[in-house]
Amino acid sequence: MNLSASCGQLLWLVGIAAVAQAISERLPVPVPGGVIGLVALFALLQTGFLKPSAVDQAAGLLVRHLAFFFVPIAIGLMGLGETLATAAVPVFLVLLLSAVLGIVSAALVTTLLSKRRAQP
Amino acid sequence: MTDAFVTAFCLVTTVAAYLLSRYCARVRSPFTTPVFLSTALSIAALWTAGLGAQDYQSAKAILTALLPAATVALAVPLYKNRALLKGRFLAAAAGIVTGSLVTVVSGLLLMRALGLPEAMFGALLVKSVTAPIAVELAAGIGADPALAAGFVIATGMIGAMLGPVLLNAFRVEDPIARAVSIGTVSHGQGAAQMVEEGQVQGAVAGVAMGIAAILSTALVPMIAALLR
Repeated sequence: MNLSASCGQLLWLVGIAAVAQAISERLPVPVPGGVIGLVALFALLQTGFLKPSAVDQAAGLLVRHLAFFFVPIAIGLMGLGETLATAAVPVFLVLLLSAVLGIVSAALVTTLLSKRRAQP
Repeated sequence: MTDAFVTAFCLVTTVAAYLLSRYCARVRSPFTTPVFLSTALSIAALWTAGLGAQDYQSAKAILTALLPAATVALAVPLYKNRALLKGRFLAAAAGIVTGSLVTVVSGLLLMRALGLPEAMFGALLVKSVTAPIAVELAAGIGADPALAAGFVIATGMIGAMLGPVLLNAFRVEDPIARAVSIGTVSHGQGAAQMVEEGQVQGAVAGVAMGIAAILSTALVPMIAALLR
């Protein structure tokens, strides 16, 4: 992988993210800057303003290691011990069960509607 | 220890924990989920060194600097696989709406049933929303932002660890249904885990996360008003 080319590609992604963040801060409703940037880059690729080869090495690297960026955020759980000390178990149960129900229901609805559409 | 040394220690610890957990991820199990294992290893190291969440703040700012760019980068696999997504938008949207509502309503009912304090209800409403927006929404409805952030991270972790296993148990094989459901409920951490299944899954989960966040922005203040 060519390092200088990758740095140039990274600049595109960082630049789009920065512009998207600035837009997000000026919107009346909260929309994540990253998501605005995602849609913007998709539009740039779709309209041909940007070729996939102009960003794909840096993008591939960042996407492969997306999990890394959530580690520092998850470490923030450390600070929550005292707040939850007495209710940790029931709170964990609520978060666990509601996540399970949400994931299963969303997956089943998506699958079901996709199948119905696929059948003539 | 000086601040610069603490920050350097936190940076090295996090990167080392991530590299180690990447290696361990070859063995597939909820406990080798990179976000979970890296976090657990890092917390163990910080705790052993006598450091707390406060000491980690400056390292966190450095390490998350590229997260917005990484989110933007999800557009590339989405674009490359756009043919795969044709005709699936309505089914995905229905899945996102269903998942968002089911997870919040079931969570509220369970909290009531277990007798948890009503002060926690607000944080529960935003638990499936991507962190920066969740904190903003929590403040808007008078919920504790720190508790909300904790609920968000825990929900992300639960979905990243258990989501894939759960979907296997329900025989959901369709990559789009898998990505939509985990992205809707477990936002960025879920999307990061879906990348392990494939870049297009990661991208679809990222989009589901974004749509779910926008939906919650509209619905959360309404549900909060109903609860009062």
